Amino acid sequence: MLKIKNLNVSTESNISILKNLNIDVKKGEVHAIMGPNGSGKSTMASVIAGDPKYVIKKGDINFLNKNLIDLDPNERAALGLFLSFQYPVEIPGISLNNFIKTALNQKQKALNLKPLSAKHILEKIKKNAEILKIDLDFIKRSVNVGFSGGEKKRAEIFQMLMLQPRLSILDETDSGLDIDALKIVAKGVNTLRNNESSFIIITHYQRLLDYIKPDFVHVLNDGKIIKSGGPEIAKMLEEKGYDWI
Amino acid sequence: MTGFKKTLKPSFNIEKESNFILDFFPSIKNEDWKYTNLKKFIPDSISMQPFKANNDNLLKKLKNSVNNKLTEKNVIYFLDGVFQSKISDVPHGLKITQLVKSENNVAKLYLNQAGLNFNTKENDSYFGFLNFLEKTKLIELNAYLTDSPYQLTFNSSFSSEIPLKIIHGFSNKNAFFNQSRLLFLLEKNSTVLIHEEVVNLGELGAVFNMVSEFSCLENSSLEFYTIQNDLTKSCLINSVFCAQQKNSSTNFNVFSLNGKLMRNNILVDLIGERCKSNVLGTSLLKGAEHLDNFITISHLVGNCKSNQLFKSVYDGASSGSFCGKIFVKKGAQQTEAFQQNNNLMVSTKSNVNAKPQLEIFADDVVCSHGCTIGAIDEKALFYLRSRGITEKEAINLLITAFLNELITNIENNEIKMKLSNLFLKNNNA
Repeated sequence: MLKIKNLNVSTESNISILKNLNIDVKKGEVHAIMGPNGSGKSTMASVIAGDPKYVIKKGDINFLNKNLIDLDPNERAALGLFLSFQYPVEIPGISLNNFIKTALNQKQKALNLKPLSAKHILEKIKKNAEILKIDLDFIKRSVNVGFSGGEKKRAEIFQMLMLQPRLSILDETDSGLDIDALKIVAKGVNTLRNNESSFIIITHYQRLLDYIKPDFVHVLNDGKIIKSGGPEIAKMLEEKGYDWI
Repeated sequence: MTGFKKTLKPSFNIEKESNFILDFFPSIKNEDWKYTNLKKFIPDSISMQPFKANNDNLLKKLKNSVNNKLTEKNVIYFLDGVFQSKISDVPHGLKITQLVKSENNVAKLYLNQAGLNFNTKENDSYFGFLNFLEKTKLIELNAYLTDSPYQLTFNSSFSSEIPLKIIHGFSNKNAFFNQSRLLFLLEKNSTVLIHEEVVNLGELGAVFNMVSEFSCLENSSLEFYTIQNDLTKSCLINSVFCAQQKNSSTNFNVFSLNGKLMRNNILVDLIGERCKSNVLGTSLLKGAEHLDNFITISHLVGNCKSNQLFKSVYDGASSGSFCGKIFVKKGAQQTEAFQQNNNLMVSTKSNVNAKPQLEIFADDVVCSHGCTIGAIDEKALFYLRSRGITEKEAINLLITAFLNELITNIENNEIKMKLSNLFLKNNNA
């Protein structure tokens, strides 16, 4: 599904961040990415989603057999890519409700499909709000404005459930969550998990992986993957820290 | 031009070869007009509108020009500054009369000295706005060129659920210089909601020099919505002078969407205690449009509150200026006055000048001002696009979100819907 080959990425001021990164995510797989601060985890997530502030020097990102590098962020989203932001952006004046409706219908348009009916969207909103224990009044508020840390992350997962992406990248969605919120977020992810959809989960903690069982765990350091394996790696890291590698 | 010559003060030489109207235009050396050079927008050859060019056909056209989806009740029409009773529906509690001008009338404002009523006597004229009037002779020109002005008196029991719609139609043949002057008297305890629009029935590139004077008596409340959406590439110079007595409240809300030049002079004097005044503006400019908001709220006594909030989006090669003054007179203690001006520059070719001015001569006050000028937030743009929203649509959403603040706060649903649709249409255009 997602194949990243020899990816080299720099900032606009030419600081090299990702160095020959390779990763291969197949249909239905869950990959966890761990690694110390500043190792390039968030950059990797942003680059896959198409953040224009990074410069791709070399390499390929293939998603569902399409080269993503020349596609706009919205085109990538239309293909079924979703990024749950580490720091969701506050957008005063646009309600979460309006935002999600626009996003859904823009996606329909990009896929040459008819716009969804208001009734259909509302039903979907209600269903997903219930899964995430979100109050419907919450959806009327401006996107992320005045949301608590937990609410922001829950809103991200809510958007993910609404958009039903093929590949979701969760960038430290568990950071700052209490144990109940963590369970709710995990429930959201597990709802979407099936043979067709895949996940990349960026996290610092083994705890989240207790609720979302990964198929693979990778350790990213200094812009490249230095170790890959099964869930046991996360457990070892939790016990021994990154020095162990 | 008939009947005009003899009412002029001798100091204005209309016989001279140059176009005398131009003599009344402020120069950019005048601080109040620094960022708007009228001579750049208004042709040298500008000539005056002849009075009373009304006929039934024009009235029909005027009536049809108004979006008829809105209720037909409570609509009053003016054509070339003349009240059209035939097609108007005057609500109960509103009286429309004409002040009789004397031959040698030289009043700049008709507001009387105490700010309690209107008259044409020069020695009983309100002098609160003198500083501005002296620098802006256009107001004087308006007084010379308007016939006897109309006074709209709202009686004490006046309370409007449905907004009063005022339509200023102009026949405007051959790009004339058009005038209008209305005097609003809000009697004690009246509650007035007005929605005002200008309709150009004539050719492109006209100039509308409009003056509104308000006297708001004790406990009165005014909500005044001005929609500037002229598609005929005209210039609009809109001046509002308002004197407020104690416990009165005003809300001037200006929405500027289309027009070659839009200049809003809004001057409010709080002369009684416990007054409130909001002067608000929302604008979306593109092409070569120019907007200049010139606002002054003067706290002449203590215990009053005022707020200025202006939000503008500049696209294309549009330009603009915001000059907002808060004046707090010596002894006007316990004043609360705020000012905020936010500008969103969508295009690199657009420009804006912002000039907040605070003149505070009292020590027990809360006053603040803030100004921002910025481009579209790249982070927000990426966030929206990452959800599948195209760049164009995402920018539109962010513009709408930026401008929505003052629209969503409108209590009257009819006006709110009209404005949100207008902005949406203009944003997507």
